[in-house]
Amino acid sequence: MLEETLRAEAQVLHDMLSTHDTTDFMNRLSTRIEEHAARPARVHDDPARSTPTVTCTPPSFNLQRQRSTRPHVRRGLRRRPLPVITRNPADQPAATLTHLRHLCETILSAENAATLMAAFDHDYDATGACTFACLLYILGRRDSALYWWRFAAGAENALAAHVLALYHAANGTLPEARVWCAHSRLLGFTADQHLPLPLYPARATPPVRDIARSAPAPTNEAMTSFVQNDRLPTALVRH
Amino acid sequence: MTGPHESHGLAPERQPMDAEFRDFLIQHKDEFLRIALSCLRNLHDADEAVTDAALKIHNKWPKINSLDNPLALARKIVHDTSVDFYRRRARLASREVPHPGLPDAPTADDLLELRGYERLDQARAILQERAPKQAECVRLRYIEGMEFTEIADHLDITPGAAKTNVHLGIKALQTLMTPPKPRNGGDS
Repeated sequence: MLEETLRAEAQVLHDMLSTHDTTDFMNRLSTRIEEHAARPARVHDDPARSTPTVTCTPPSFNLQRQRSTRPHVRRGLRRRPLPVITRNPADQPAATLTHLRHLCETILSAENAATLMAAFDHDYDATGACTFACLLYILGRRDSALYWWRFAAGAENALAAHVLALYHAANGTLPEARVWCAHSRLLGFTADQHLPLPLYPARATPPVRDIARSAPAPTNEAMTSFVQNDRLPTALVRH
Repeated sequence: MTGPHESHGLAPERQPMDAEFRDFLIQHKDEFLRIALSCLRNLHDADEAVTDAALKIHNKWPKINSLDNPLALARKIVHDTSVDFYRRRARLASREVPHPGLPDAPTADDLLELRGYERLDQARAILQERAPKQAECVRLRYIEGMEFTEIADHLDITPGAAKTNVHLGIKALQTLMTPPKPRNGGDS
């Protein structure tokens, strides 16, 4: 049974690959390689130091070989060889979680955050639900945040679907990230349309430190239980 | 965009791709795409992931090519790039520019199909973490369609070990995919 499933998957992959154009792929890769080669190097050698130049030094200046102030270390330990390829730290789970938190803070700091929260209080508006979920996430109410993000995504809020894809990508659940990424595309998520603009220009004004305290909160009594309790209400837990 | 080649006013020379790298990539491109597709289940995303991985391989090609088994490292790079794909995409989402003529958005049927792969993919991810050799043997046997002798050559093991790893890997996947049985209440 499982073997048949795997063989069927192989056939599906084969059918998908039959439409892939190798020449086009190699041409695009060549272009990427050229663009990458044209980028300035991250670390430049100072041209003035790399080439020998004649400098005028004052006659009183004597060149002395500087002694190292480091303590002498016995080289007895074998060093582990450096890996050939290293993964980008910016693509690792910790960095993605930081990005997610920053996104939630930006959503909560938006000018219309209070309006959205009021709309959510009134009739469980999807965009307001996404904002409320961001508040719950900042407060550490992860299960409740996931519940309300899923609620908002189910109500066709593209930003909520994107946030869920981000959350699952950060937590390593690749199949879940894949589904929510597809869901956000189905809902027509685009960055310029759905991602909130940062309120402050980069490094001009520091963000509010305790965003959880300054962010608008729902006044609906039913919603305050989500804010106050660590766990999702039992009736809403999926079995 | 200025670059180091433009300091003398001439257009940057087109650096031809290393012939050996080009041949290596063309020979194994489909396998790399299958690795990416198994993770991403979307041909365009897989294409992007393999392009990113190929760029990394190109940048370190002399060192990779000098290894005893460059293909093994290349596979790992493609797999790691595919696993990091959604995190990278989320990080760079703010730089995406809408472009007309892109492929159609997924449909609800596509989402259902993705859900159908979830249990198998989660089981394979767990197996990859706990017993990478078994996971690789299963992949080479069923997705790449290799014989045991070919698997043994690829992984530098004996055909018998390849057979054993495939058998153990399938058993492990079946266990991981089987939901736990609900416990019956005790006798009152």
